[in-house]
Amino acid sequence: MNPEPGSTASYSLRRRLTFAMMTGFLLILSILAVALWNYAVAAANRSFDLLLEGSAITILGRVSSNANGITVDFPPAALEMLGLAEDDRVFYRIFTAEGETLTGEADLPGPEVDITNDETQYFDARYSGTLVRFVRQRKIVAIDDQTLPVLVQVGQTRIARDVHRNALFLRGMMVLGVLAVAGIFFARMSINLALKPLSGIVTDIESRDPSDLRELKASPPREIASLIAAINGFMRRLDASKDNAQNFIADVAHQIRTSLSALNGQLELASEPGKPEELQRRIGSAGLQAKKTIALTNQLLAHAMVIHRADNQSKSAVDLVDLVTTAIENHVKQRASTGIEFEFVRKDALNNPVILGDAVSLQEALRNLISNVEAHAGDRPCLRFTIERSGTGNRVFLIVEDDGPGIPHGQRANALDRFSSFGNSLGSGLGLAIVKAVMDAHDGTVTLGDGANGGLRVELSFPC
Amino acid sequence: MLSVDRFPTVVFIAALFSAIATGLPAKAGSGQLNIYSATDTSAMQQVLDAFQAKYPEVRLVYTEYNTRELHEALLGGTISDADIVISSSVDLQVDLVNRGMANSIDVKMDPAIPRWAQWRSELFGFTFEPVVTVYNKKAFETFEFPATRSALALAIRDNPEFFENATGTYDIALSGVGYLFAAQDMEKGYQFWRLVESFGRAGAETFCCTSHVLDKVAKGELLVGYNVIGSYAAERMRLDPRLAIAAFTDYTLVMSRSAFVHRSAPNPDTAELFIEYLLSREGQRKITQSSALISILEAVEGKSERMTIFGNLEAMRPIKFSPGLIGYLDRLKRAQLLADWQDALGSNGME
Repeated sequence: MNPEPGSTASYSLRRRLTFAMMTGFLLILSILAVALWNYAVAAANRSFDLLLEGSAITILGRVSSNANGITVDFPPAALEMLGLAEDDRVFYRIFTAEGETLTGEADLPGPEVDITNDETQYFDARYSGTLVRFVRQRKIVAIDDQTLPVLVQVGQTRIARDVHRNALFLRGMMVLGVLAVAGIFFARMSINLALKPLSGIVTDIESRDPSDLRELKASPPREIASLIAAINGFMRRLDASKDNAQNFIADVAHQIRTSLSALNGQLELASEPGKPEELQRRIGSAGLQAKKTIALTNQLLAHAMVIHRADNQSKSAVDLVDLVTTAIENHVKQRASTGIEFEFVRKDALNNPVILGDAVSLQEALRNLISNVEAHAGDRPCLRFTIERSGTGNRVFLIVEDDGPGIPHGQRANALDRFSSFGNSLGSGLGLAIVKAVMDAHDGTVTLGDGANGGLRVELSFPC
Repeated sequence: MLSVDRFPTVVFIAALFSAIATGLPAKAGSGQLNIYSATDTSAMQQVLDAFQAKYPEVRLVYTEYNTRELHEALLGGTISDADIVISSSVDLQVDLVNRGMANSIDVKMDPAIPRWAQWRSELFGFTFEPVVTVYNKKAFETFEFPATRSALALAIRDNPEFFENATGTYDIALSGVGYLFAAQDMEKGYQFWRLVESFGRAGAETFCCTSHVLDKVAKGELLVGYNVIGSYAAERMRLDPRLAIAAFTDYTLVMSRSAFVHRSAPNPDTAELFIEYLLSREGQRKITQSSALISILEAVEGKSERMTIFGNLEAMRPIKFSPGLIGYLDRLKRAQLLADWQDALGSNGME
């Protein structure tokens, strides 16, 4: 009936967590990669821009003036410095603010926006077939009575800084990658660690004997303690129910054996020679015993039926008024004349109270209550059915009262147990137990009390 | 188990690869290869012949230039069909490469080729040529030739009659490599200017080329020739016992003749092949053994013998290929340096 355990596991917790972790890591990694790239670009530019600026400063330092105008004693070290970036080509231009080239490459490209103050300006521009990083600086040179701004522009191809940028980026990504792999690894480890108690429980349960219903010994982590507690609770109930079933079977066996032995004894006695009236009396006894045995067997089967239906039957709407009416009709139909006087009281003027339940089981319960009255309440007993609602309206009570001898207070506690027959003859001891079982199956209760006319009062309480 | 299984596979694949690699036919050069070079044809002839012998399909066209003229012709676009550019003026070469005139090439570099003699996988130095002073051996029989620049300057000052009109050096305005040497000298310190001033007082002559200085010193028309290319001098000295070489002990510059493939080379594949040959062990051996030039590699057969003539290897100061060299080519810088040079040398130096 149940599919294989493997096939019921429609997903793996471990795989799901790993997937979630990896997705998270990938997301973080992508964001960090963008940030890292920007950082690498900025860092590479920063270090090599310093080199460029140093070069420009060195050149500017050699720009001055004499009687003939502006002089430049070009420092080769300024280019040597840039040669630290081994494979990069270098360019420079020294010029006046008017654009007159003093020395260097006259055709170096300018920035999109020219600087007009003394700040250093960096920009990229294409020159000599490649992208070149330029720095531009200016300085004021005094000639005679006036000052003249002189600019120096130094450029360097981007090979070394691109290599530096890529190296920074790759190194960073490598660290991030290692972290991500380690993270996923540790995540998997912790998932395994977290799931370990579960597999312990699985082994515990699998290795058990079917009859072994002791509590699981696992000391579970807090997160699954409730699961273990639920399993243990279930095992306890299963254990109790198994005990009940065993006791019931033992009881049934005992009862039937006793009853049949008695019947057998009566029949043997009847077959011995004796006076006719004596024989008549013995056969009468044997007949009575046979009736009791039949009644007992019926009741046992009824009880088993009720229990079985409680486990397996789905519930439907049951009208309590119909239920009581049908029960009375059934009782009357089966007998030529009934000694019972029925009374039916409806205390609420509302619609017929309807509960969710199993009509067959409920009918059986009422049948037993009526039979009890028949068996115990003497001549022409009176049986009163009362239906009423609780004050809050969330329960419906079906009360059955008779005017018989009732059950003494001290015995009421056990009256609902099986085979707790008292009083006389035909009681099987199962009637009230069946009622109790039916009410249990309907989440209802049975309360025994004193009837208004001195007899037994049975209150069935249903949720609604 | 797995690793044992895998091992022979790896070996097999490796074997396959090496088979493919060795099985590949050698790159075959073909067509015409235009070499523009500021190097005496006589110095390059043996190397060119060896290359030609190895790649008979290639037609070599070798055009000789003066260093500065070559630079100007390339910049001005007078030369438009260059495959290979060779020059001893590494500053001018670096300038051309810096302007993006060279092709980046992927040659199998001998790791022994020093870092200072290459730039950007575009410019490759293939010779090792100390910059030396030559003197007339007979003239210096009686007193020892000075070992440093300061000592030479002092000797000139102390013996004005002896050195009168007897010194010669590059005309640095005319010769690119002469300017390079002067610029490097100037960078090293003040003793250079002292020396130039003493040349000026002694009425030094200036020349366009190393060979002219060598001629005059050999003949005894001049006694001292300053800053001449050592490889040429050594070759001449081998043939002409009247010459002697002095490598100064304060420092001796070392120049490396360099080559690059022109960006718009008509025959770039063969050009690359030529550079590869120049830098190969085979090419380097050829350079050392059968030309005036000396290998850039240390451990080439014959190099140490060739180097003994210079002595004093500790004072060798190679001129590093770097953008810093461009600084001396700056218009104003150059004008200033030339002006200073002429001031120091005096008008009598200029013919």
